[in-house]
Amino acid sequence: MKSNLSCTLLAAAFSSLTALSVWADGKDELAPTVAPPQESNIPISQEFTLEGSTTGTSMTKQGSAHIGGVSNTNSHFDYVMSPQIQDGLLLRFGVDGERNSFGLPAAAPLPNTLQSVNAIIGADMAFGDKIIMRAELHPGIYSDFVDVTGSDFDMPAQIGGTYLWSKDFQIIFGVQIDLKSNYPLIGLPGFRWQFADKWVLSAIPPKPQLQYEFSNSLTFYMGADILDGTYHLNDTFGTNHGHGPSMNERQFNNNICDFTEVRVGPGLTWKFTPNLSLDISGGYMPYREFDIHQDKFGYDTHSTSFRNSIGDGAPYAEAGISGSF
Amino acid sequence: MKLLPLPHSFALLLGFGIFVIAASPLRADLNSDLAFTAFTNVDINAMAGGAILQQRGGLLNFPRGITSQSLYIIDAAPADVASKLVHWSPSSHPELKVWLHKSGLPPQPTAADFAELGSLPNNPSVQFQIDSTAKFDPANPSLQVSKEEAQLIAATAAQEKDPKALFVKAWSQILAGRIESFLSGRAGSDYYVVSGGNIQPISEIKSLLHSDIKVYGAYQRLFNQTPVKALAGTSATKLAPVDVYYECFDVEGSGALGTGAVFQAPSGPSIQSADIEYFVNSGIFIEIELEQLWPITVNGKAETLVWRDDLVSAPNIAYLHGTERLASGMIMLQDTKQGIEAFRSEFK
Repeated sequence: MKSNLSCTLLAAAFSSLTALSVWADGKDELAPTVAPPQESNIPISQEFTLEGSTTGTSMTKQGSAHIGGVSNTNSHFDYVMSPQIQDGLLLRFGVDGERNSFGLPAAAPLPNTLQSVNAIIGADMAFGDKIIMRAELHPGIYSDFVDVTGSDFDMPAQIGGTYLWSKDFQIIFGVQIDLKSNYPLIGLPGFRWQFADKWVLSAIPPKPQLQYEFSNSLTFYMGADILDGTYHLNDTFGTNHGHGPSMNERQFNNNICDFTEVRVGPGLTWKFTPNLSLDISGGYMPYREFDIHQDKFGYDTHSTSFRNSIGDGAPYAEAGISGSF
Repeated sequence: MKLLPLPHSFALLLGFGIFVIAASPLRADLNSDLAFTAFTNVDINAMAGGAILQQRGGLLNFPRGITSQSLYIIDAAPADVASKLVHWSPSSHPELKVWLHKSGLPPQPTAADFAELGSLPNNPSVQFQIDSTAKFDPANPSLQVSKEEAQLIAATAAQEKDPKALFVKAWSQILAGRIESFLSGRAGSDYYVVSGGNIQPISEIKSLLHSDIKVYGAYQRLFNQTPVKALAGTSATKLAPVDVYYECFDVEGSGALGTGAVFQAPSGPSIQSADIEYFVNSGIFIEIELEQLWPITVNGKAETLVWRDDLVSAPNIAYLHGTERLASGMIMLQDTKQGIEAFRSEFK
């Protein structure tokens, strides 16, 4: 082949959903040994992620007041099926569940659990030959899962795009909209740059990584991982944690908790079959924040923040399996 | 399809009326000529400035296959373009990462015809081939070879301990055998051992060719004169290849060796060309490049409208799903465009 198409195999295309079963001359001299094309075929791809992690205990403060040591055991699962209904348009339907289970000191005004169970409804769309957009709604329950009510329902939206500048460089942009969050609109730019044969700088939130491809199946990386979510606290959470309406502290009943946890460390991804990957990482968690604020649209200047200082972080370990079919 | 939006086209007509009039005597039946392609209502005037129209291939029933089509103009006559398709060397364009392209092999080459394997550039991509050959394990092949070829590598390795010399000796014989097998019509029984099973190149070729029934119909007459038909056992080859070649190129940082043959034949006022890279030893199984060249007149000059179809079968394609596969189609267009620009620069 005179010109090299090998880079196509990177990704990392189609339109003829139907094909005729007759040949142009009425006979097929090539006598194919493959099955003839089906009259219709909508390819459906599937993907899943299953991951779990745990952190050590980090010293958490409210302002300058010590709350005590807080640890977290996080588990996450998602599954998405994606039918390609026409060239350049894939629908996305799936489910997602995440649970943060905290180890807390007695009487800490923090939730034991922040958990979400939600659907995924969205689409991937190609625009021209260089842009792929993804839009997703995540309707579901985002809560401490105590006395679940309609107030626990939320529907964050994510809109992201990739501009394929070249096979080695792509620009990523994304927006997350969550009307219950203290930051209802967050924009996240990024890029992916393969700057050498085996090196990739994937500056893409929430998991920016510097990657080294040791072999076709094994990649080492140094990176970060940002866990975040917006959860509703139950109607008596404040009353049960020293922040009720009749107390001097700001009341936390029926409030919203924006949770953020940042992790930094090395890891590896082992593609143990062409469809399945094992990801293992570990390192240091320098930042965790619980930002509790009223359940209303817009930034709450009177929100209460519980966080640790960078030096009071904790180690973490994480493992996960992901696959696509 | 990258057609200009109507208002833009209209502005061009107003702003460059003289040029458009000068460029207008084009083939009246152009769009009927292109009926088998992915391109309709083509605005040749917009392409006369150098634009390359491209279209991702459709949804294939062949999981390892991916295709794309391109349409562009070259400032040369069709016969000259057809000749250049045979005689140009992509290895003179570093951006294409083709380390070696050797044309003009005889239909029954000997190992001596592959002496250039010994002067490949010293880079990690080529070194992958040398190392993979030196460490080759017939029980767990890291390269795409038949059982007989695996035995040949093992036997050669027993006698030759220098990795580079082993690479040259083993692959000179293997590539010569592949060309001879393909052109003699005996390749129908060739099987190559890869992880996950065996690959029969002829089935890959057929699956790719059958992936677009309209294109296949337009090229059936040509295919029937090539070893591709002979492989089906129906008759002997009638059309001699205008070129037989081998090459070494990069696939995702690793070198790959392939052999191919180019067939060309007139089709009405146009020329059809089929470049079939029969089997590649790493990363890719099959590559097919089809071209059809029509004479057109632009600004009073005889030029060529080139339609190109790229069809690739590769192991990794089967594992790309959803958006990944969509993105791979887009990247394939970029790679193809880079190849077209390099080829077109040969005429300047």
